[in-house]
Amino acid sequence: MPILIDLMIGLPQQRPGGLLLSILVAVAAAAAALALGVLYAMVCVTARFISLGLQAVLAILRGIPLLLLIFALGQLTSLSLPATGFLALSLYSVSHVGETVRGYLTAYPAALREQAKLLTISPAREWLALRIPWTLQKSLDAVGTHWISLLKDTGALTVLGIGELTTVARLLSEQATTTQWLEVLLAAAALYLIAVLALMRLLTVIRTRLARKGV
Amino acid sequence: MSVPPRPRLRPRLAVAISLLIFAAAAVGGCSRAAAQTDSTSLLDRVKAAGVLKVGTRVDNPPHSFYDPNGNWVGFDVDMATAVAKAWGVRLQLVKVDELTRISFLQNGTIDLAVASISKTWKRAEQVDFSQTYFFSTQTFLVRKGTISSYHDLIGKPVGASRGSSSIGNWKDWLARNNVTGEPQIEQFGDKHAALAAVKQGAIAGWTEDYEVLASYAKSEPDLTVLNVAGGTGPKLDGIAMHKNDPTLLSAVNLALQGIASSGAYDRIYDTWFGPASTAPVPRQGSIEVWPHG
Amino acid sequence: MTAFVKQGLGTLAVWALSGGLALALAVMLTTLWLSRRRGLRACGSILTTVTRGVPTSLLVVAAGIAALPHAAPTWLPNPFPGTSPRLAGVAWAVTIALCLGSAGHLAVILRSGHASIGTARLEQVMLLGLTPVRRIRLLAREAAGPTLAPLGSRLVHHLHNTAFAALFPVAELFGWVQEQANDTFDVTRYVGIGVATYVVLSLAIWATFRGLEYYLAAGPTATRQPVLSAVAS
Repeated sequence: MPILIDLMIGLPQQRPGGLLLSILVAVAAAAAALALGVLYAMVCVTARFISLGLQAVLAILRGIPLLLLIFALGQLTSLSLPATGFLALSLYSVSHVGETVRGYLTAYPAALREQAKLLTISPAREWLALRIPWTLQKSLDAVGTHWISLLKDTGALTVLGIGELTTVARLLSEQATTTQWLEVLLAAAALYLIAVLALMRLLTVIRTRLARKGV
Repeated sequence: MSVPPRPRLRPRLAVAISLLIFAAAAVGGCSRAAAQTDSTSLLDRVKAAGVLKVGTRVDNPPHSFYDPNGNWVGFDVDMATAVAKAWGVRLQLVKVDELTRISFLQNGTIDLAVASISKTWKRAEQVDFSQTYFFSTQTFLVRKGTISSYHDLIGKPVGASRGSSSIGNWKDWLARNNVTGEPQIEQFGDKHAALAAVKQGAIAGWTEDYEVLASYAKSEPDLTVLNVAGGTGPKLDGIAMHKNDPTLLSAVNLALQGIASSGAYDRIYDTWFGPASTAPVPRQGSIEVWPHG
Repeated sequence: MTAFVKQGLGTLAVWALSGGLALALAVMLTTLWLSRRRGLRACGSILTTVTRGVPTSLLVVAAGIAALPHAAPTWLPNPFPGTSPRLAGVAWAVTIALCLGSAGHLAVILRSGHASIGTARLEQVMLLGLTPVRRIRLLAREAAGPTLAPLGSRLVHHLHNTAFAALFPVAELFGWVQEQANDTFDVTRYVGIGVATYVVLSLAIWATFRGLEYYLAAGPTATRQPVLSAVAS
């Protein structure tokens, strides 16, 4: 039981940690990345010349394994370790989310564009009320799948010693026998699965509400 | 009546958005200054700031780990505390792992690395090492009843942690005993995976530091540590610091001498490696202490 | 062959095999999901949820440890450069674990691509009276637009997940970085080489998918007529 508590909220004197910290960091990074990702997609769709450069930057960023990205930012920046971890996760997330949102924004139906023109809706309103909500709704599955992955990817923060779930599981398992080690890892896996199930349920609720709104 | 065409999202706005993205991506400041960007020693900066930043691990019992109450404890932690006390500064511990214990040193995030770092010639090209503050050997963890000496391991697959100094020691032992040919060394990225491999017979033995193997063997009744005098080779731990700072190096060595001569070293050693500890390691050497003159 | 080249090829081998298996499994899971039978839909849903929810690192650890005691049978091929034949079984186990780690995510991407086609278009295609193969080809092309980008992203992420293979003695690039960095302490150099190599490999994957996206956008079925226009004409 103490192991389960440590896995959920962190080691004593290292709280908040464990699964709680994993969720907090993942939510913050996902929110920042989604906002930046939408901006990126908008630029790519509207300004094709600039978009090539941006796409190249994001492609390079996407090519760097998260573990090495965290390590490189820790090496190159003067930010505190938690800020470095947050920045690395956000950049990593935007490199995936941005590309997904761009793909869906590009596939925005011409018919809906025509309808907006016919209804004399201003471009700004069309973007805010139609295009972006449509894109977000259609890409929810793909972006949601990335968020699920992101929740588990917070484990890479172990490089900076940030006490989220994977780090706590590693530390507890270091002191355990081989049998207990497997138990600790199984407990950590179960906690991740529960968190992912909760996130999937949340995504389903959001999808249903958006569908009811008629977006 | 004709409807005027609506303008597209203005290019200027698109440029502004992209600049915003670039600015957001560029946040983080410039690279941290290295320890030797000017002629002052890092020691002067540490004393001026009143804080000594030491990188040490949290996953390496009994050198440095979290106890069940979440306190950061261990032999390396106590040694770092003693060095900070000798200099009259506050200690700030920074968590590092096998990669960051060196990269943080090189980029100035930490001033010293007290992280169970074995001294080797190759490593000495990148960092400076203090005199040895922990003496041990490297040996093998094997299944009971299968292997009784290093000679039994010749020609068999053995395991080691990736890039560990124990690999070099095993190769040197083989060379000293006139064994030719490339040894079969399987490198693991996780200690428990290597432990499982020994238990299950996938490898004949796992080579690591004696005290690390002893702490694992304690809770594994089927495994035993090959306790051979001298092991496959020595493990000499030193405090790592930025290269080419002789003032800092001298200060660290003198601090170690002070810790040894005051008796603090004996107390720290007995706590973590003494006969009553969880991983007893008989003394293999001692810190060099000069006469005051 | 230098250790770097072997480990790099090892990474590619693990990625290609596990990625291919993951895509095949994802297609199967998506098919189960879209089935009219409740039982099959539930099966697909559960398998997808479990493979998405369990961290890939744990799947790899469990698979590797399960495979360790068993010597690889002689008939088992060893397509993993740099991995000893004795441990080919462990390499295959790790490959399958990596496949399971990504299959669920890929299945969701394929499903959302299918959903992006829209009910009206699906019905339209059904009414055309095409053979199943032609129907699938047509729908695949139309779903490919929004699907290729996230698929490419996921396969890049999958490439990075191959680093978990380094927990075991399976030849892999991240393992090489760890070995060299820990041996020489020249961390910046070897991490830099590792990052550059991963970026190049990832860019190659990205470029492939962008190329496919461009090809499909410029192809004969590139312009999908809006439903109203299609009906009016």
